[in-house]
Parts: sequence; structure tokens; C-alpha cells
Amino acid sequence: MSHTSHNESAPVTGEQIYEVFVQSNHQEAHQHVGSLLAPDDTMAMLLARENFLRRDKAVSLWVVPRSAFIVKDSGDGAFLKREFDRSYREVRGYADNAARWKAFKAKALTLEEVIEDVRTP
Amino acid sequence: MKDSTTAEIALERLPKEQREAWQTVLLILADDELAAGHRASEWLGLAPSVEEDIAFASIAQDELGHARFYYQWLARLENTDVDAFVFRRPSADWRNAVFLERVRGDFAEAMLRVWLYDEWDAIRLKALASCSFAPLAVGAKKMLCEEEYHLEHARAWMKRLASGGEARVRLTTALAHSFPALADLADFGSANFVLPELLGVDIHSLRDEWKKEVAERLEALRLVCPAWPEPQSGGRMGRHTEDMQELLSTMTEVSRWLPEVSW
Repeated sequence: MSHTSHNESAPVTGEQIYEVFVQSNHQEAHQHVGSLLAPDDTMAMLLARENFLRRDKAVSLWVVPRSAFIVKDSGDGAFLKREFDRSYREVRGYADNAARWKAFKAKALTLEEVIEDVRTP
Repeated sequence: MKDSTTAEIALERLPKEQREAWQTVLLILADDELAAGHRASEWLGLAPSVEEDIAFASIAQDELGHARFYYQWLARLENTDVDAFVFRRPSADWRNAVFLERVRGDFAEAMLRVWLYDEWDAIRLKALASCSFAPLAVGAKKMLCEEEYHLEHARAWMKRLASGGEARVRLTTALAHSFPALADLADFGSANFVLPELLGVDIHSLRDEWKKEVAERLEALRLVCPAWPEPQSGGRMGRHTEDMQELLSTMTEVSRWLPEVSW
């Protein structure tokens, strides 16, 4: 925030964007639910309460000035780029195991396969 | 544990005179909340920002919820239903303050109205929270939890509107326009005399507490507190303005058109 005046008679100028996070119960993490414009922290909290908790219950509410976030996005050079093949890092193999077993067990053996099985010592 | 002011009383079994006094008080509380909530709800879609739009409407809904609580008690005592109170009463039977029925002005006036009323309501609720009618005392405590945030919201807006520019000019105009209409807000009409019996406090001390709070907060915002009007019972005795007719005709439009409509 730029210069703030303590003179009560000075016109209010700065509004800023706040991001709002709601924790709906103690077992859950805070979820981002939206953002709002507010002139100060107190009003941001009050507006968040009335805008996002009108019907739903919550155990915790966070409002964070958007300027407090340290951000990198896709416009910031190569930071978030994925150009080289990274498929070898993926764990699809494990996830596929169950399906593969199921398919294998469901498959009826052909006569040739039975003969092959018997011939094998 | 319980002293005489917190002992539970069964409203239905009270002597007629006392029961009627409670009914007067309940009706004043209910009608105030409904008129205030209805007028505030008219700002839906019109408030200066989308955030405030939702917030203002959400607070208006809280007030309607409080009104419903009071009407449910009245309905029980009079063996009728809540809708009878809201949709089927002529203006002269309503006991809300005239100040709360007034048509919508600008946003500064609306916020000033909400603030002046919320300051009064908080003082009134604190007295109710220790009254002898236990269900009302419990309800008042719950309402105070919500009113705390309504008050914080209204005070934050007062500070913001008073901070300068066009907002301050509009707020100053709203103050001059609103104060003459405050004569019947801090009043319990015919129940004024029995208030010490019901709430353990008299109307003068409640009224003075409210005026002091308002004057001090205006001074902190460097706003001139206009002259207070002579207290009158106006709306508390059913004497309303044309604005109340307008409010009722809008609010009851659907129920008059289809009396048996299910909501």
C-alpha cells in the first residue's frame, strides 16, 4: 500500500483486492472461495463474512490482501513451463495395476494356451 | 442461582395486564426489525459495490429473522400465525418507529438509519438479555451476537462516509434530514411505564445511553450532532406516515393477490 493518511477527514481513496479462504470444518484445509474489494482489513473481513458465509457454516475465515501473495504465473518466463518430456515421472503404472489384474483374470484361456501351459515343465 | 430478574416466567399464565405489556414490547421489537429489514432489503442491486450489495442484503435478512423470532412468540400468545402479523395488519396496528418506515433516501441516509437503529437496538437487546421472560432473554443474547457484526459494519461505514468528499456532504445532509424523525425510536409506547418491571430499567436511562453513544461517535467523526427531537410515542401508538402505507402495499402485494399462496 502507498501512503495512508491518519486524517479522519481525508477522502478514502485506496481499495484493494482481498482473497477469501474458508475452512468449513477442522478436518479440512482452507479453501479459496473468491475475492473482494475492500477499503481496509476490517471491512474486508466483514464483507467476506456476509458474502461467503450467508448460508454455509465455517470454523475459520481468512482474508488476505492479494498484494501479500508471492506470485509466479505463466507469463513469467520459463518458471512454470513443461517443455521436456516428463512422462517417466508419472505414476500411471501403479494406478493401472488394478485394472490390468482385473483384465488378466477375466480373460478366458484359449485351447492353445492350455496346451502350452501343460507342456511347460 | 436465579435472581428475580432471570427467573423463568410462563407468559401464557401471567396476569392479563402483564401479558399485554409483554405483547406490546414484543410487537414493537418485531415491527422495528421487519420495517428496518424490509427497507434495507430494497437496496438489493443498488448498493455502491457488489460486495456491499450482498452484505447489506444479508444483514437485512438477519433483521427479518429476528422479526420472525418475535412474531412466533406473538403468534403463540394470540393463537394465530406469523403471516397474520406481517401480511394482514392495517398500518394503524403496526408499532414500529416512524423513522424505520421512511422511504429510501440515498445510501448515506440508508447507512445512517441502519447505524442509528443498530446502536439503539444493541442497547435495547442488552436490557432484554437479562429480562424475566426467559425465551426472550435467550433470543436477545443470540441476536446480540449477530448485532455485534451489524454494528461493526455500520460503524465502519459511518467512518468511511464521514472521511470526506461527496460522501461527507451527503452524510451531513442525511443527519439533518434524519434527526427530526427520531422522536419515537427510543420508545416503548404504552409499555414505557412498565419497563422497570419488565426489563429492570427505565426508558429514560436507555434513551440517554443511546443518545450518549450516538453523540460521542459523531463527535469522533467530527460531525455535528443535530438537536434531538422531543420524545413522542408516534409509531408506537400506531400513528404512521404515508411511507408506512407504501411499505405495506409493496410487501403485501403478492399475499393480497393470492391470499393462500405458499411461500
